[in-house]
Amino acid sequence: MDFNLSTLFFSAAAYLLLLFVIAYGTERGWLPRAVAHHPVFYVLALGVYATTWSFYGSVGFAERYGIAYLPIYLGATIAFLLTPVLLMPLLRLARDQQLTSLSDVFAFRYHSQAAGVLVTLVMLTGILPYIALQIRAVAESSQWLAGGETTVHFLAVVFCITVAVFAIIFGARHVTPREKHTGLVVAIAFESLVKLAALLVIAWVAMSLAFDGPIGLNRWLADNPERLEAFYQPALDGPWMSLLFLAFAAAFLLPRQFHMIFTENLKPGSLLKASWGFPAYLLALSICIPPILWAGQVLQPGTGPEYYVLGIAVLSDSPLLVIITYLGGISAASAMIIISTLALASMTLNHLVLPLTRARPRQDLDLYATLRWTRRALIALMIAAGYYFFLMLDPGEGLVDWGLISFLAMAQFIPGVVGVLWWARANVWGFIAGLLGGTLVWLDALFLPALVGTEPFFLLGFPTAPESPTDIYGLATFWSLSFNALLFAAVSTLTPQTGPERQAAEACRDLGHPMTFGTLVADSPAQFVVQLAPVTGDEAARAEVGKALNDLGLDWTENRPDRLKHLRDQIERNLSGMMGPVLARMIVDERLELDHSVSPAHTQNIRQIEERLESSSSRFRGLTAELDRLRRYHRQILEDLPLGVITVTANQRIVRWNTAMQQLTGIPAADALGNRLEDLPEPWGRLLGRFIAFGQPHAHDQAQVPGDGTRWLSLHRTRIGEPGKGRTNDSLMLVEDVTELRVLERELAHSERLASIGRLAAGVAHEIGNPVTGVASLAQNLREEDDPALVRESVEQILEQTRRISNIVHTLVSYAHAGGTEEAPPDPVSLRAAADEARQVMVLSRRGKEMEFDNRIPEHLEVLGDGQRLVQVFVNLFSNAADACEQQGRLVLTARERGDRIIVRVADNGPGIPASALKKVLDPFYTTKPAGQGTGLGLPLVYNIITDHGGTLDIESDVGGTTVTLEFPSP
Amino acid sequence: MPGTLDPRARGNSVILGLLAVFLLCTPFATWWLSQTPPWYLPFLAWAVVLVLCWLVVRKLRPHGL
Repeated sequence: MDFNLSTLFFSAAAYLLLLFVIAYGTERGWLPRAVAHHPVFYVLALGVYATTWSFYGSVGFAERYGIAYLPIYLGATIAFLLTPVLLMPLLRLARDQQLTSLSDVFAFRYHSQAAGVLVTLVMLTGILPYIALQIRAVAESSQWLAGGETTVHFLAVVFCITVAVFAIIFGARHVTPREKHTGLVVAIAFESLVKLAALLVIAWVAMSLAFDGPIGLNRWLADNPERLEAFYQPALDGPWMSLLFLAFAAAFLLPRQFHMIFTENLKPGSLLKASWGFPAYLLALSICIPPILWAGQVLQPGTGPEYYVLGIAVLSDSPLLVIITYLGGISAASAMIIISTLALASMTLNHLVLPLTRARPRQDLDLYATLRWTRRALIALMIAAGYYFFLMLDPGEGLVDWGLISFLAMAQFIPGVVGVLWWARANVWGFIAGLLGGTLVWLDALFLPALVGTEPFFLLGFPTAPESPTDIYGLATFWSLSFNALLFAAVSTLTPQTGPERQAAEACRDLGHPMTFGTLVADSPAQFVVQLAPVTGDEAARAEVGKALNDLGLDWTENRPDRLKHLRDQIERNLSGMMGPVLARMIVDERLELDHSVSPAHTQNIRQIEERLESSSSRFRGLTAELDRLRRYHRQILEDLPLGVITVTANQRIVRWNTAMQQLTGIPAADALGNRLEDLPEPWGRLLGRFIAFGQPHAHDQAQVPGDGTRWLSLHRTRIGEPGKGRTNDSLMLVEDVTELRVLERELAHSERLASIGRLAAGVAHEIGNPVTGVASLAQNLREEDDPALVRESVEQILEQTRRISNIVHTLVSYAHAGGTEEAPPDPVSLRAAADEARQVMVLSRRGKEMEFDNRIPEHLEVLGDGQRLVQVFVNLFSNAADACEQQGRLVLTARERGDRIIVRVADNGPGIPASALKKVLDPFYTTKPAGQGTGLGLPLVYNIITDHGGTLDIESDVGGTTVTLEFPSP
Repeated sequence: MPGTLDPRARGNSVILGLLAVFLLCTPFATWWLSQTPPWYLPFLAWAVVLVLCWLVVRKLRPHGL
């Protein structure tokens, strides 16, 4: 059965078009998102691992090496069994740092552009034989089906052009490799199903044609035991172990595998499912090979063993089956080429083209379009290079032999991966030395002999010439990796590691973002755009900053330094996904500068450090874990304090805002932290800013809190010390809400006022009684009086007495009503006038009337305060003096200025206060008077009032009298 | 070691990997290959290992990703 070449071409083109429609439709939403993102598509898409090597070449390899064809799948199985310790950490690293290729991973880990360049070169060189293998398989299979009409080379060219077009359409539509290609994943999953289905059908048809079914096969094997022996024997002598190891490495290091496993991963849970799902796919694929091999040996379909699949399909006399089988091969080849060139194009762009040519996106260029077209050109170039390798490599070798060249190249990255995941001490010198050493052995042992026909170079019998050609794979694997690992370990140990490299190693192991120190020059996202634009263009700069803001949940008004640093780090990660970590770091370091000359205090990095510690705390062990618990304990103390705690930096940025402050102000910590004090909502910004500017360690203030009325606050402040360095310019403030205490004091003062009025009651009654008696007498006389002049005189006397009564009542009422619940703003108060007013109240009592008052306070002396409260001070002092002096008491009031203070002295000539009582007179409720005659609150009240006015009170007493000294600040 | 899963999960996967290495890379592998068992038996053993793998990962949730 021969097929027309055009039939083959159009069927292949139609199939590829079908794949494109699937991809396009998925991205347009024809397939529901929940379905498209199902893990089954991700797992099947990993089947891109199985190329024409599996579809055609495995049968040929099994014909030569028996069951030794299986390690290619078993090695991959071992790699996926180790998903939790091997693949999952790599996935997390790739997602966290936006690394889209193996070159990105190594460039990031070893903090080296050279590492990225070298990895890319080795990857490019190593993968080209694999691409050539696909081209050869398609060309040879097409030629055989077409009856040998056309040359293989022509078919290869046609295939290369066709697949290049689709590779560019499929993969280079998106701007950056960080963008997911959901449609491509679904299309590759479909392709994996086609491959598997084709092989399963062919295996069944093969068993049916050759043995009448599976039971017939077993019977045939029982009748021909040498077949089974020939199946197992080569594995005992052949490259079983080395193939296992090569497949283990290739399973996640091949560009298409890395791309599918890590870059196209949407949900980490899918990788867990792939840990058993993908090996199950490989099992289903590989179990088809022995029946096809034995059926081909029996049926002799007229092809070499590598194309038994096609030969058996032809023998079935079903053109449909032949086309399906042929398309299975096309599918396997095209998927490999599309994904590999997609991955390699990004790698080459980020690590070779852009860095080596020092080509930087310019402001007048559309960055995204430039990157898109460059990637398209690289895809075409790579396929062309693959065709060149197809022409150069020996077609007499098996398909698998070409593939093994690539597998060994990929295995050279294993030591580097060890340094990424487990060995933090590994450095770039060791990595480069090891990779170069291993690659040189690979070039000598496999690549150059295959390409130009040289003999592997054996020096002094080391490595020795293999006894059989198949041993070369085992030897090449052993020696290349031995050199690689030895150089990697030795050079890493003997050479130093840089600081950024150490940070990157920690980031790889701790999976946290490396901390950046220094002060940002830019102070807003808009400034970021301005600084990036000269390099990326205005549109791209705005898009990248906007994307980073969106990723972090920030907005364009953000100005807190710690959040802007996060924004800088996120921009770097996003750019890394677009153009690789090395170039991204260069652009960010150059354009979004950090000023390292200004060393910020630790307080500025507190939030960064705490976030880092929180994300890493589960991984702390031993003393580190204890220190972290201690840190949390001390932090919790601050959080649980019933006082508000604020820590501000030297430039008034808030770095601590505890729970009590949140409750007092209603401002959440997230809104306060990082902001300046002045940015806080009213009244807090003004109040706290004023206190900081005040400079004093203590202050009392009040705040009008919206919806909560007036709160009285007691503020305390200190500068924070740094052990060994003295006091820093950072401040710690404590804010105490004393509103309840103030209300209690007010009530107490009012009670005392009323109590003192009670003590005056008897005297007041007597004072009022005298003029009332006088009025009564005058009124009685008026009844009898006829003389108008005498009547007028009596009336005047009555009016005089009523005025006297009115004064007494007015004085008493104003004293009782003084000290209302609302504090008046401080006003200048004349001390002399206050003392006089107090005297007027005192003379209402009998003892007060007997006291001699000598008010020598100068007229001009004034203090800022509450006049009525100051009157109350004098009333209490006079009352105490009157009670102490009994008869012929004398009270002298003097005052003078001394610097910025006003000193007032109230001196009586009483018997004095005993020394034992003097210490307690200011204690509330302490009194020397009999019960019911004194509350013991007078002097404490005086003390509180004086303190509220910013003053002090001092009492001196001896047998000659008591002197109370009041000191007020001058207004 | 960077980890995204609990230590038990990592330990179980390492055990599985070691089991696979034991079956394929040790003298035990040489022994069973030399026994020329039925051709489908290695695939059955492979399937059993995959079932064990499914049992290990089915309850796992990747943290922090």
